[in-house]
Amino acid sequence: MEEMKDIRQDFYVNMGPQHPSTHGVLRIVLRVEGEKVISSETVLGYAHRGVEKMAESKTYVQMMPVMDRFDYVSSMLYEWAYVGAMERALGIAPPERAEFIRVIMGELNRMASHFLWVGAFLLDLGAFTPFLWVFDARERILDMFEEVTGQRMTNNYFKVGGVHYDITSEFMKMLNDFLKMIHERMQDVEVLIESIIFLERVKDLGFITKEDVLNYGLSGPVARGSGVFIDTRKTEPYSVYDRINFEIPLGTRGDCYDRYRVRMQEILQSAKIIEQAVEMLPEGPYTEKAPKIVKLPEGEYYFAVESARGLLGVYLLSDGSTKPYRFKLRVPSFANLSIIDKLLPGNKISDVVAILGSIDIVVPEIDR
Amino acid sequence: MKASYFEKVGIGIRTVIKGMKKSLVYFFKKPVTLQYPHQKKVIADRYRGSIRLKIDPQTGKHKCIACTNCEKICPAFAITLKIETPEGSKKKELKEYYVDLGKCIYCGLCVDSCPVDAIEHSNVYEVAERSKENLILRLDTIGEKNV
Ligand code: SF4
Ligand code: SF4
Repeated sequence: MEEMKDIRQDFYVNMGPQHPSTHGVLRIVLRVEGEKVISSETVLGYAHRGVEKMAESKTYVQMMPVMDRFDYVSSMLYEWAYVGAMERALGIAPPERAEFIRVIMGELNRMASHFLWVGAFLLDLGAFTPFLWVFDARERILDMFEEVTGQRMTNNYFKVGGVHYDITSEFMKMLNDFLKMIHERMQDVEVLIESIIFLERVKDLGFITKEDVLNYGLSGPVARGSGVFIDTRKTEPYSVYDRINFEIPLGTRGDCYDRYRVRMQEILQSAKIIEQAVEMLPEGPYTEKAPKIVKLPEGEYYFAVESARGLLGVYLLSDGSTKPYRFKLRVPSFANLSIIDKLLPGNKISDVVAILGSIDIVVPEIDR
Repeated sequence: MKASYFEKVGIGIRTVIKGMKKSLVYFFKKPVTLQYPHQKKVIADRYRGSIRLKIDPQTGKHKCIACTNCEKICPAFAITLKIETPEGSKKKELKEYYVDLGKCIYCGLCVDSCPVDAIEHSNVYEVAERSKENLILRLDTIGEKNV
């Protein structure tokens, strides 16, 4: 009997690095007793590419396309953070039109990211149809990106002083169609997934308290699901967000279901922001005259935006040359993932997927 | 009050039927999937495909002045230029212009950096080849693989 117990205690299950629902090469070592997780340990580093070091050997402009490749689902928000830091250093303010275009593009990107999340989350839980529906919606966003930026995912659209190209009338038409269809699509998806099968699996699971949010430095929908008001767009408004009227959806209990609800509502809030931005879109130039060779004055610069996953900050330390002396990212997924080892113990193995999914991580930005 | 087991089963069946109804509506909608090699998507004009040198309609030649801006800015080191300065002249001349599509990340920085607007992106996105060498395109000789 004594022996048996020992064996059971030392039973380890490796989730990842090639597990389909870790969405990337993340490894979680679960110590299990039967179906129950006793403790877990997250192992990082499988997707490490040394990008922060690489930035030191690339010029500021050359680093631009690399910014797309951290978070491939909301790449333009990354560009925004990087461009914002450079603009702050150079003292350049982009023209009004560029700011609104950035808001439109950024929010579309946030929607695309949340769509992908909803789809993948439900796929992990075993529902396939919603995945196709939201991917149809996401595909339309990508088509719009292709129309304006020339690329579907790694857009490389922002530049110091504005954006690379102006938006087109074709884009406006597509955007209008999209905004018309989005509310209906969201309702359809909700009808489909708010079945008791889904609710039973995500409700009362993976509670994150308000204290945990602050202690672990969580941000984004994960923090807002617990009812903590953290959103850079409101607390530290950048660009033209202070002129746009929108709400920050908050959860109350902090379980997986609340995090899901927050994201679903954020999609609609993003639609609301885009509608206003389109209405307020002024005529004028879409880019400011900026130096072709970017050389930041000596000093430290930081700029933070609200990415689809939370607070995203870019820190640049410049020695006055064309390359950064130090380049540092504050990525939301890394901080958000840090709580996972606290959430998992005590849950069933099948719930691990649900909890991990509700955190919404993107591994390339964690291991960078 | 917590619903009993049978109530839950009842609710489950009801919600599944509700979801099925919605699915049925989608079932009769036009499919959005394209059957790729047979059907092709309309590519946006701005689509950033493989790069090419623009041909000046007046001279029938490319406009490149061999400033090497594109070579310097390329983050993937995909562009290689061979430049010569003919004897008796100060002006540099482009001899060979190579782009390695195996390295190119289609970022558009080279097009952006060109002072005389000599390069552009084509709409070509099917660039798969059987060997790596075939991916290296020579752009200054017009014709051949330079679509
Ligand atoms: S598109 Fe980008 S990667 Fe490709 S050749 Fe031009 S600069 Fe280099
Ligand atoms: S930037 Fe333009 S002009 Fe200069 S070398 Fe490249 S293609 Fe030629």
